[in-house]
Amino acid sequence: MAEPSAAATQVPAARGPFAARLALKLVGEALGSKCEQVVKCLIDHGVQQYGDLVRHSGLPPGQLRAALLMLVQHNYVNCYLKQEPPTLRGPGPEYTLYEVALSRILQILRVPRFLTHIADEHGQDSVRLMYLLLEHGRLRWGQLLDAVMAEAAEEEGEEAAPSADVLANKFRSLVIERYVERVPPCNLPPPAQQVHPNARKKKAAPKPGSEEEADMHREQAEAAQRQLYQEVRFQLLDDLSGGGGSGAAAAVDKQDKPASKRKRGRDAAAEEPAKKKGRKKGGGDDAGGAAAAAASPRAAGAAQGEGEPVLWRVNFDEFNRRFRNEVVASTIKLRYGIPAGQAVMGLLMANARFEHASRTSETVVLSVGDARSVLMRAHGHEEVPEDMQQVLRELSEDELKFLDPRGSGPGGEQYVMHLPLVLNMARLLDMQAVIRNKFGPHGVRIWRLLLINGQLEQKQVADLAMITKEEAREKLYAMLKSGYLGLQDVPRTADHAPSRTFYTWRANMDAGIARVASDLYRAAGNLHARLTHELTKQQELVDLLEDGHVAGHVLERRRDEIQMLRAVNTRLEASLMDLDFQICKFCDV
Amino acid sequence: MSRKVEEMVLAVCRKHPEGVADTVLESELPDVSVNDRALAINSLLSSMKLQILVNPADPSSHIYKASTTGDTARFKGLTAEDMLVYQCIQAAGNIGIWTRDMKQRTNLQQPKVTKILKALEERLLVKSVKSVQNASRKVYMLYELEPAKELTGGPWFGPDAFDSEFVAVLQETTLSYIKSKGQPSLADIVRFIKETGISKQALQEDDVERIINTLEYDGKIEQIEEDDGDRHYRMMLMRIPESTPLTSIPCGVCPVFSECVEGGKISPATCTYYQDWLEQMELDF
Repeated sequence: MAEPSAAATQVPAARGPFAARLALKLVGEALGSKCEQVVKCLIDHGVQQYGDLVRHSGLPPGQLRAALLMLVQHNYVNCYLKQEPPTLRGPGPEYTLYEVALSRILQILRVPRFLTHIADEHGQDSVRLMYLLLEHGRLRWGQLLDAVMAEAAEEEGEEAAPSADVLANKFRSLVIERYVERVPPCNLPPPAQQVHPNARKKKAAPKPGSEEEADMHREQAEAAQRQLYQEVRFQLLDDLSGGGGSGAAAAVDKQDKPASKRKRGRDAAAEEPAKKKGRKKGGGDDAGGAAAAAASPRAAGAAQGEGEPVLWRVNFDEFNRRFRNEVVASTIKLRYGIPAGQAVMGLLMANARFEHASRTSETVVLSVGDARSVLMRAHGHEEVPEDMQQVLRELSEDELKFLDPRGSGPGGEQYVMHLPLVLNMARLLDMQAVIRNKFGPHGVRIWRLLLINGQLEQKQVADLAMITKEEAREKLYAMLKSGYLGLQDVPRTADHAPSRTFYTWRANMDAGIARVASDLYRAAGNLHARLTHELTKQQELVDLLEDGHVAGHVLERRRDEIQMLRAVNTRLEASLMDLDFQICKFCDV
Repeated sequence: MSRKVEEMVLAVCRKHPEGVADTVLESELPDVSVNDRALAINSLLSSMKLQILVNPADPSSHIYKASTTGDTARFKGLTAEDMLVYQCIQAAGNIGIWTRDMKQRTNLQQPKVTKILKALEERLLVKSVKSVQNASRKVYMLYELEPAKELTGGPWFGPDAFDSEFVAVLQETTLSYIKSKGQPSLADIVRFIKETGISKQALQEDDVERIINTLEYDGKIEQIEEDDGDRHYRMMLMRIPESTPLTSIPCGVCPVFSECVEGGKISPATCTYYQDWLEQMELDF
């Protein structure tokens, strides 16, 4: 149900075993052990039908259904409607496929950063909207508005709470800026299989009336269905886009009624927000009703049609795209100066409306005028370099070749920016710091030496790095073991005898970056495990703190222990968030 | 007669201390016939008063050089086998020759070669040098020769091993010079290093370049192209960060990171590095 191309564009580490392990921990913590079991089953066995899930997960059908609905509600599982080709007897069978959305689960770690970003850009009311949307996974506008107003009233009082109009305006801005998107309908076909360019075979045009032609038409129809969703993904409902007048909640979603007048009974669950996330041990049976309604094909399938209820969710990709822009601009600023950073930020902002994902290889053709006008709109004159044309021209002449000139247009000179080149530059710096911290200054010297000079023998490495042979050997093998270097044997004779074989060492930037990415997920998993261990160790104290009826003098007596537990907890959680910052740079942009 | 010719040849050779070719001898001694001259040269060579060397100007010809009085004394009493070994060592030049190769080339037995080498070393005709390429291998070369760079490792090797400290000092000096000068050229840096007198051995341009290259590999400086066509260096604009979120936690620098498994012998829950890291925080706390 997520972006069809999300899995295909992920880096391998984000689909690897360490990312999966971390995702399991996060789901277990947020939604309980039953959901964790379902996610594990989906990770182990891949995309599958409900029947297969029943068989593989070992959960009773009731629990499985509840857990699955909970996961769908929180957008951690994607649903697709698979339609088999028709046969002579009639239309082919159709069934729902479930796929774990690993990338969305891993974003749980980044939620505090998302909220900080929204607070900086849109203020506290938008934070509240985002927070509740994140807590519930997917909601209709009316449900979200009710929940936000109820929470604001509880915290600030009825008078101080923001009005529905204000919230509608905030929500509108969030959708326009693509922070919030419509939930994809669950009757979308599964994403098209991504074939590696080397594995693609040239096919002759199918003969008219043949099976191949029917397949081709079916694929085209499925692509059109996916495209249809992309077209409405950020489309506001008529009432929201029309400037947002009074009574936005009722006008936007006619099915929603004020919280006090909601129906009780079977239909009530469909209208109420799903239960909040928390440490649940029981598997979340209680969440089934709301999630079922939220995920029902009818409700979600109608998301495309106007007048029908539309579910909204947070678009993590947009956040990551903005974080990527920050990384790119700061890298450029560091290397070429502040005006260059500003000019590049202008290009990236101008490119935003043409982008659909954070992992884009290059921008569209953008002119100096585009970049200038978007910067002026966002920051006024302050953040616009005086001679932007000259700045961009100089950047395009740089040896890194990340800015490709594409002639002149109505807005002045035009450029295309190759984002992976700049991102890899930023990643390379981080990776070298990792190598230096891990293997010492001579380790990074050897790594860079091999990167610059290509393949070298051990003796040459020691000679050029100006270190002893013993140290060179030690560092080279340590880096080989950790996966930062490669070793190739070049035999002089057919028998591959070691004495007649050259052994050459090499450093590969892409392999190194992939290694760091994988290590990041593994370290995050370890950090999470340690955090859980520390909390379990002090379970009695945690229970005491969570129990609101404990006498003050009891807590006072254990003040030092409590402070220590809080300090340990804070340090581990802060380190986890810092680590996620680097994970974002290496894996999600 | 032959004695007189010998003295005449020796006199001409002494007049040319750099060595004299056969054609020069012929022109300087026009009255001496070729046969007499050949006899005299052979006699002088066998009595070690004259040395025959390859002409450096034309390697296909040879030159004669008068031996000094000391040389004559040093060579006195050497047998033909001794001379064979000596010539073998001489042919190896300043690269030197290993005893095993010597044995193969001279066709002598190992004990004999060892005995001859001992005698030659006592007479200060040859010397043994340890190769940095193979620490266990001793090579022999003429006593007066300076060992080649490949053998000694150049100025970076001390008497026993690689002098890492010297390299580090040179790196530090070069780096501070580049930092203070902005964008100096290679020639500027070489001049500065020579002026400081930091090295006892004279460092050549390629020696200094190797030091600069290591700084470049360390990510501390970068090379830039200037209009004058000369190579210039400056401090790296994008410095490698001191630390990253990954390496600021124990896992990032853990030597047994790849062996760490939950529930295993090495696990995050029982990790002593985490324990120390959190205890350090407790101390701060």
